[in-house]
Amino acid sequence: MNAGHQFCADKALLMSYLYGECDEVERRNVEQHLTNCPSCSAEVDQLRAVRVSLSDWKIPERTPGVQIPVPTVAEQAPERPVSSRSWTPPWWLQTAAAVLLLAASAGLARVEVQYGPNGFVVRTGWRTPATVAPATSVQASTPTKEPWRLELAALERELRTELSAVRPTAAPAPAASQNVGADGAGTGARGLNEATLLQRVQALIEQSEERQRREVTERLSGIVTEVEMQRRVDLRGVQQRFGQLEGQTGIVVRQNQEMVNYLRRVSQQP
Amino acid sequence: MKGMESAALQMTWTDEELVERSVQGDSESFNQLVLRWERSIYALAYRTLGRDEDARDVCQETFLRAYRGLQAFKGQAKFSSWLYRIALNLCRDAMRRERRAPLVAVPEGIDPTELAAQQPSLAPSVEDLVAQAELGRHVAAVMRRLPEDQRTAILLKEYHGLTFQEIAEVTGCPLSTAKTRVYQGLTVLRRELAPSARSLAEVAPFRKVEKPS
Repeated sequence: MNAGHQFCADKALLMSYLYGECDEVERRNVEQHLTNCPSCSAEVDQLRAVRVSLSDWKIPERTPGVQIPVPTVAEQAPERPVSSRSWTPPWWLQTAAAVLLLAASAGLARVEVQYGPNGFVVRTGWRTPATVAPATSVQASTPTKEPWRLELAALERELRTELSAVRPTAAPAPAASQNVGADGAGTGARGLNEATLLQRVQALIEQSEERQRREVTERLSGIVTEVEMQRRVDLRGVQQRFGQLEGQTGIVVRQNQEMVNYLRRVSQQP
Repeated sequence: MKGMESAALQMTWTDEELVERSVQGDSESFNQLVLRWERSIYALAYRTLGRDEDARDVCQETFLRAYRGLQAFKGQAKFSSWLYRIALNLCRDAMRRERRAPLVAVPEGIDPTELAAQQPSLAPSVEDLVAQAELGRHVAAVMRRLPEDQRTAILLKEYHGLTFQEIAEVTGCPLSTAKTRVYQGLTVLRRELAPSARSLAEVAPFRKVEKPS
């Protein structure tokens, strides 16, 4: 009896029992007590009922889509040997890459910026036939009368030297051979660097687009689901009201018909 | 081919093994951990904060912090417990920052269509879904009124299946306190939920309406 009272007060044991976390001996003791104690038995039943109610609290079936900014396998160069640490360009280099990309785009679109007495004038399009080779040899296509081209070329040179200075620390073996190439012919290593950089920028842009696309799709599907549910509920309500209305109308119509029939019968009587 | 093999292997690795590989620089292993736990962390944050956007933010920040602090994670606790602790701290910060009630009875709390999707073969009626949604909202509202400690303990126990020992570790309290918090919370819920559950069943809007014959 005394042991029973102890159990009644031991809510920690009750919790262990309720969630199946007590050992075999404890479980048997508790069950034995429950058969003799209606109060504790009722409490256990009610707590179980609460647990069932809690299961009604659902949350949206959405994937939060966590994005961790770590380099993925796709971003790494395929031939590069596995290094213990992946290389992420510093912020200034990423900014510089973006500027370079912008400059390249401007070159392709043949954007011309002129500064004269009328202020800045921006022109685009293939107004004149191309007389110089684009992209790779900016230096060759630099007319001395356009100072901005010189500055752009200087910026590009600076970026290339910085790139070739940073790259070797990330991947020593391939970068070393690139440097040798850069000292000689130059274009091969530059092309490779630029290609890698562009590839990386492109990958970043694609990732961002993919993320946005996924976000939009998820939101859209959420909205569609909500609208669909609301539609079903509304439809049901409308149907019920129509049903009620039909019922009422049916009664009135029947009454009218009965009245007409009655009048007809009455009027046909001599 | 190699990627597929490694992906298959990652599925079988324990959290702690994936953590170890992440620390060594294998970002795919951390991605695997994210995939494994993001939904659970989102659920905890959602039930604590009551809003989808806030829950997403907390979820994102939890994994970001975990990634940055991987070196500090020595395996003294389960990885999931560690994540839960980070998430709960962030939830607490969010609540403090915004100074609003922790659980908001928002309409998106329950989505009856999703309930329907979970049981396609049974095809529950709209009436059942609406009644269940009402009940779910009511549970959320009652949970909102619980003290934070009790609410957190019940969330971790009921919706995440943590043991009392794990709850004690995550919330930083003695084992007996974890049990007491769950008991006290359940007792309040028993009082609050029992009558309303009955009345909800009785006054469910569509159940009592009979179609005119």
